[in-house]
Amino acid sequence: MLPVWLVAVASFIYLGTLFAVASFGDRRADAGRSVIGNPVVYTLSLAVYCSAWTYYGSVGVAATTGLAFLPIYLGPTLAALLFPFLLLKVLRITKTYGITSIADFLAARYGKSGLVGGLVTVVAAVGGIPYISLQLKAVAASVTVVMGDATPFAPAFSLGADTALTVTLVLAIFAIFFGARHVDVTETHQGMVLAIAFESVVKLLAFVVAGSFITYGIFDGFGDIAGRAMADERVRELFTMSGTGLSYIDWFLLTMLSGMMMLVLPRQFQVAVLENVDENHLRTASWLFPAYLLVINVFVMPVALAGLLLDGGEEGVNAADLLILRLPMDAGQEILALVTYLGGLSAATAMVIVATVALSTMVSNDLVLPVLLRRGGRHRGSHGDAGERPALTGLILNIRRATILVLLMAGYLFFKHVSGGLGLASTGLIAFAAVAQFAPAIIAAIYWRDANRTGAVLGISGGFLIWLYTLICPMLARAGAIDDGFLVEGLFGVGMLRPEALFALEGLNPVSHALVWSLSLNLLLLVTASLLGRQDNIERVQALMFVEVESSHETARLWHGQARVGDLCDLMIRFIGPGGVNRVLDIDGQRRGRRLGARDTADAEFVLLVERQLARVIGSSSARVMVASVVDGEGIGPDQVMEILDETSQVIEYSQRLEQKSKALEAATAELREANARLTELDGLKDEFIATVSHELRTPLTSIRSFSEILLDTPELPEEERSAFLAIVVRESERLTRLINDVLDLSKIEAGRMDWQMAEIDLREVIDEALDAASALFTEGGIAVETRLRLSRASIVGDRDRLVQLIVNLLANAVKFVPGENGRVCVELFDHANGWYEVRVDDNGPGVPRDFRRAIFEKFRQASEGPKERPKGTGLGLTISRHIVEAFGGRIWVETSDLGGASFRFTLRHMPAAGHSGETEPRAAE
Amino acid sequence: MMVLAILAVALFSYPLLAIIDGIARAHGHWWLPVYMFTAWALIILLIGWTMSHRQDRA
Repeated sequence: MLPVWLVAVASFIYLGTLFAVASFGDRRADAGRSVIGNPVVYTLSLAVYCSAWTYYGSVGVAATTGLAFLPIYLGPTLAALLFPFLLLKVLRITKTYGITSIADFLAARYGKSGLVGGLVTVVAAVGGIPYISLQLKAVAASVTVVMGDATPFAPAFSLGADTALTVTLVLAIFAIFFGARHVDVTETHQGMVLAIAFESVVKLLAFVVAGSFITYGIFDGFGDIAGRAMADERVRELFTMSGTGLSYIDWFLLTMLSGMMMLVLPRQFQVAVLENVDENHLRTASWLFPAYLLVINVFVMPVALAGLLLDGGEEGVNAADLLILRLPMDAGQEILALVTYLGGLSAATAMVIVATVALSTMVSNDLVLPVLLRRGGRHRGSHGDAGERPALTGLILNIRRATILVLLMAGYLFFKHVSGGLGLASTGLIAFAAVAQFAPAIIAAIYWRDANRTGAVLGISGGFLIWLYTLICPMLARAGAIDDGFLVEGLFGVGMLRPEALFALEGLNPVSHALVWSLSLNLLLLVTASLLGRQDNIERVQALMFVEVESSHETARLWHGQARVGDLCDLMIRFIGPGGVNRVLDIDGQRRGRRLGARDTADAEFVLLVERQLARVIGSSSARVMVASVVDGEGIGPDQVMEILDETSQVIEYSQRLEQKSKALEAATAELREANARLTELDGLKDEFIATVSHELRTPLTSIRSFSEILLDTPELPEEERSAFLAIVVRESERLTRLINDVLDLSKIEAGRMDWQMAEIDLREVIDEALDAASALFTEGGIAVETRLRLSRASIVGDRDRLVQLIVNLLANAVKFVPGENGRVCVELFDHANGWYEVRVDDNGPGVPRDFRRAIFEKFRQASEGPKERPKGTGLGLTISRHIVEAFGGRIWVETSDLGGASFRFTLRHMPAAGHSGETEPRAAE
Repeated sequence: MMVLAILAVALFSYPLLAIIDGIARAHGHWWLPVYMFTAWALIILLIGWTMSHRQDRA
């Protein structure tokens, strides 16, 4: 048990540290050296999601329903996947239009509607009360535990008064001093964000340290706890899905609900959207924030199981909520307990600070100020003397301070009289279900241009009423605040209207049940009213601006009234002070190239700039009212709005069409350029081919003609010479025939008109046949032939005659290059295990220089340096060989052989398995 | 990103969890929480990897 003074001193030191951290952050921001421009700080600020509910309540859930605590953290993990889409778009809209809260966001989207802003504020405030109540309950209970009271919610209080009330008042004072020190005219509360990030570190460390002590100090680690839990049948059940008590729909809905909270929970909107200073931080947060959630949950099950094992397997939900604090206390680790208590205090204060800042801003900007301003406007007339009005910053601050106090007191009363018997998690889920009603309106706001104000108002109102009826009314009835007869008999005695089994839907978790009906009605009303109703002019413009925020539509033209710059400055000075007004004039001056004077007439752009600046302080709907009060004339009429919209739409459409056509033209130009290059290349090849073929034809023809003329003109030629000349004529004719055959073959292959006779053949037999065909060449040249055909059979699919031609070409090529004496040729066949056969034709000739090894497979290219050294042959044999091999899917190349000469090698694919052979087709030759 | 979202939802879908639960009951109940935390960590790693290889767009 810790003495009261120690707990109090430690608490105040901690809260004082928070002030110091926030002050440091603000000072750095003022000095232009922001400390929150860091993705880690941003991510830690998102961890305000982990309030006392996480710190204490998760253990309570785990001790009673096992893994049922996980959907609350899996939902945000899954939602993190949407950060780069959904949250990024909301972020850009918010930054572009100077949004100040989630209520302002929806109000701005739905026509700068005070009604929407007010409604969202009411729902958020009422829904936030249970959430605040659970923080108060947790802190009050933790105070009682560290002071030694084992019954935390007993009527007797150890501070000499109501502990929870004391905690409420301390937190209220703290939140007022912390969150409502001044009206910020900047976009972010840098000191607050830094303090929240600091608190996230504190609560994580405290929880991990306490969890580690319980796991490794009281027990012998995870294995020990798991082993002992397994031995207890009741505890063991907590590891199972049935132990969660959640149905499939419950699991899905709770995961979805908690995922939604990343966007719709006012405090998450505050830190994730409004306080963001760099949208690139989302990239880091999308994985680091889920990682934070994972780490803080690692010890939840071990702590819960440890508590159950030490307490004999029985824990009430309220007692289980405090196990993380009570177990160190019971173990006599009072310092550790104090640290753990401070971690819980940190979790609760972070939530209370951000929630009250967010909610008080909403209440002042979207609920109270619009009413006061409209009333003031009526009293003073639409163009009242701005200069005579008192500064409103004091009024705004007082409204916010009062709101904080009211919210915390409402939270206290809710805990005291309604939710005292509920676990922390149950209370938190009720709050989640309330703000979940914003989700349809927000999604529609940024993706559906036709969503209108009526739909949003009806949807949120309908869903909120269902939430009140299905969740809050039963709690009030059980607390004795209202008659509980309707719980059993249904409203007006109609059984179908029982709040916990509405329309006979039973078997769900109460929150899931409420969520099903409230969100269904919400969506139905939103969609129906939006489809049936019409948007007014401002709504249509705002819808366009939100849905197509990337297009940055200019809206200044929607003002065509007139105002003096001096009047607008007088208006602004009451909200943002003289410094802020100067800044606005500077910004405007930079844009237009000169600074406006007080007597100048403000144009539409300046009016819009003023309205946006005011919106950062008092929200868009209030800003609109304020600006309207000093601008002569009104927003332009419906016809002009439609004209602008039509014109804008036409320009956009025309621009999009032009862009599409431009892209299509670019693509077509690129294709044409490529085709032209190819044609030029082919044309060059064709010229080269014709020149080469002409040359090759002319040589034998010249020989034939010359020797024929000699034979004709000299009948007296000796018989011996005559025979020799006739032999030359015959040989040159054969060469001519070969050349023409090769040219025809090549042209057919290249044109894709070769008639391939595909069949299953044995490659070994093909080689034997080719060797037979070339045997005369070997005999004539005295060349030794060696064969190494180690396979008994090598089945492939191909054209037998063409493959024989291929190998004969290679053999003939080898014969041409081997030396006159001791010429050697070796033919080998391999079977590679990867589905390929390889054939090698080696010789002991001079080989192929490395530089020519690719070129020799091109037309009329031979491995020699000049025409005089050109070997015999057409120069097409290897080209045809390459085409044949490639037509069957293989590859041909040349290397240095083991015999010292060239080694021509090619591969062919094994015959496909049965059932596939019919599909084998030779690859089309190019 | 879409593939990752589908994978993440699938890993924590109730039907798959029910199957894992059934297997865990036969081989040691603690397998279910081990699976959940492992799958959770895996998704975080995949999100991190994906984020480092993508361009943001709203």
